Amino acid sequence: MVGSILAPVVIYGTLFGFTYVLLALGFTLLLGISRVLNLAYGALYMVTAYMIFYFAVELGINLVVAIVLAMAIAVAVGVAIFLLCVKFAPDPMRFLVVTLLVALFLQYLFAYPPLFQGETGLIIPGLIPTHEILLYGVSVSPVYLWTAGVTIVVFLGLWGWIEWTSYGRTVRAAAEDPETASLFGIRVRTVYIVVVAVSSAIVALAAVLIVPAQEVTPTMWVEPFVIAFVVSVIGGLEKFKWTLPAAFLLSFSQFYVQFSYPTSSSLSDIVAFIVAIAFIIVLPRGIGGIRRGR
Amino acid sequence: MVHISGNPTAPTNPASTVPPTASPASPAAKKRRISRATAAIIVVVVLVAAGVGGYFVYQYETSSSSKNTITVGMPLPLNSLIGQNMLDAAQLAVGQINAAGGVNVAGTSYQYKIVTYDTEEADPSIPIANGIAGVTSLISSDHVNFLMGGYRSDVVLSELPIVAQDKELYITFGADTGISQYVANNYSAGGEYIFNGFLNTTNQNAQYGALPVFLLEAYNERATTHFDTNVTNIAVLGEQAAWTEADIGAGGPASPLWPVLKSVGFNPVYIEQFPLSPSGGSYDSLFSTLAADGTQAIYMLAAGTETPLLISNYGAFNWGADTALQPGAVRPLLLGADVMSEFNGTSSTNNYFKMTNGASAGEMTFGWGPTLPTAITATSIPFYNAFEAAYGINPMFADGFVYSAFYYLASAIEKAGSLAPLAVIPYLEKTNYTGPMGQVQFSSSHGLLVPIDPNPTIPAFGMQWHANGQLYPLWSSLWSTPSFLAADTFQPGSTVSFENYQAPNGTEVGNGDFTVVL
Repeated sequence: MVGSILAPVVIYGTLFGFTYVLLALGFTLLLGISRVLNLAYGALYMVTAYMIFYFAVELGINLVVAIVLAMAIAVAVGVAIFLLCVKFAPDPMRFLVVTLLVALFLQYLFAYPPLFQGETGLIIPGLIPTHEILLYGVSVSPVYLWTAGVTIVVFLGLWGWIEWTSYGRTVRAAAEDPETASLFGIRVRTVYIVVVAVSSAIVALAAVLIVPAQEVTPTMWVEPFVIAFVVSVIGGLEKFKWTLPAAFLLSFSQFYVQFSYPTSSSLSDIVAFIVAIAFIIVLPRGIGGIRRGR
Repeated sequence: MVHISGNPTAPTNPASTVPPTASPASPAAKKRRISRATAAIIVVVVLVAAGVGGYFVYQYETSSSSKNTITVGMPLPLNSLIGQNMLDAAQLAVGQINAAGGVNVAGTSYQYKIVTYDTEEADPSIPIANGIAGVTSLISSDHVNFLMGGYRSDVVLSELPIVAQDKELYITFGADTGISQYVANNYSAGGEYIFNGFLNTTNQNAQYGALPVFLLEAYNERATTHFDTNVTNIAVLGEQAAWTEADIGAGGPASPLWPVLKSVGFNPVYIEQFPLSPSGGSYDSLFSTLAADGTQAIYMLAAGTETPLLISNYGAFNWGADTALQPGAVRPLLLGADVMSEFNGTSSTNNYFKMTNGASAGEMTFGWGPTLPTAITATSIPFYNAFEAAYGINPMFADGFVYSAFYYLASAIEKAGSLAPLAVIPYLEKTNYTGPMGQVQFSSSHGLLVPIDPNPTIPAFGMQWHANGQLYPLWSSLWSTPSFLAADTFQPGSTVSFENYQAPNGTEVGNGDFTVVL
């Protein structure tokens, strides 16, 4: 039993673990720096996918150009939502509510049949071939292999930027104590906008890589948001570096349950929430809290 | 907390910039009070004028609509392809009936008029309250004469008590047997106002109770004749919806389908509902389980928009061997009831084929009505041609039923000589109408009657996607038996092209023509 499920659990757990990291990275970064829960985060994933469909399929623009345009629009929308919230909903509760409303607005906008195809799933082209290959007897999509590679690069790049660059120190200062940082001449608002832009670019990149292996629907924003949220909770809601172990804990738990109980297809999804709730109860500060002995 | 540069701790309170209220004694304040009072009077006058005007417009519209119009309220999932197609079918029928002089009610010609309410119910996450709001709005606000619509069975079932209480005649298209049960249990208490214009689960099962058996035997007949292979190991995947529970049951060996398949020599290996949203957005882990089980055929029970993702994943999945001809092509045969697979748009657009990145090549599916131009009845091909000409897409499984409903309702109204539901009901109960998908008759509990032998009144209709991106009627010697329609497009001796198609055992069988056996 264990032997027969070992290969698929390890391979899918690893590949989807990296996918979860990429999905959660921007969300946790923004949460850790600006302390806001951006519920429109998943909507940027959807905006990117629909924009790629619009530019590449509807208008027939070159795919690379379409991807660049779609990512630029996603970043612009992400920054615009943030500025809108700062202007009209400055406290965390109203920020949370407004971002949720924006996500739902975008969902219904893209579900409007004259714009696209209503609820019908759309397929967008990708840069990576979708025909799967065998890895130790397990069928895996090149999409997820590339996503794993890109995630490693993005994660290390982000870590290096935050930890070892002068602007990274500025970002950390703004995150630790915005009042003191502003007294030292740091433009905290600008720092937040930069972080929002980086966060939006990361989730847009995730859409560029992953969505060609899936389909584009008006409700597609929910799952990446849920994954990002659960990974952030398990990681401790603060430092983005804890998304790495949190994402792998989640993905290995899910695929272990899925292959152990293959006839209970929804059980693996429930596991994600069980793990998250367990962390909230036992380790409220997540994996990051373990290191601090909490 | 979001802090802004400069003074991040300062509260951003726009209200603090508002000047204090002026003293009542000041002339400026007095002037402002006068202007406010004037403004208030203007607002009141405008509101009263709008109300009075609106009342007269409403009276005029109501009187004109009730004079020569039969208003049919349609609660439908209009934000989905399925709902849009149903509305298209309704408008096609209405256009034809009105152009032919309308409905003759006791010597006066009436024109059909459609009023819609978008219930969004094709999305399984939409609550049943949308359906309740829909019929309530159509009855109370739009004052419709009749109701016709509905798609998701749980939504339709929730609407029935309201319709029965208000005594509105409702022809619905849900698939749950519970609709007829409601009519039987509440006849003379409002239930008699409800008719099910679509095949319910019992009728469907009477017709295709062992549909996978038929399809697989059809495939094996073809396979043994032409490809020298056989399918035995079968998995059944049903979407997470009420209508698949009758066949899937508790799943695995406890599923009602399990012994059926065993009894005719097949080896069921996996029978379960599949998740609408798989972990990580991929069905790879599900297919890994099926591959490990040695699955040779996957039988689908699906009506939702998530199936193109499942099928494109199935096509991209590596089932164990690559060939230069078609990488990852050694895959289980795909067949069953898959509503989305009926959607070819037009023969040139092939929408479903594109949605699945061509992974649907080889998928066998079935439905009712002329999804393809096939002469089920004398009106089938004219209906198909008119639908495609009007909307540029092909009709889907429910469209022939919706289209027919306007015709047999018109017939019942004319016979009753009245628009009063209670007068129309006896004639609707005696309906004997032949439409594009077959012959419509109602049982005592207002479900569609579907006699099987010697000839089905509403026959199932098989189709298959080919590797050239075209959807063809399905053929088989077994499908010439009374339970299934032998598609007339494929006559004995006609030639069918197959390109790049492989049998489930990996035998390359494509690139050539062969003769159809009937």
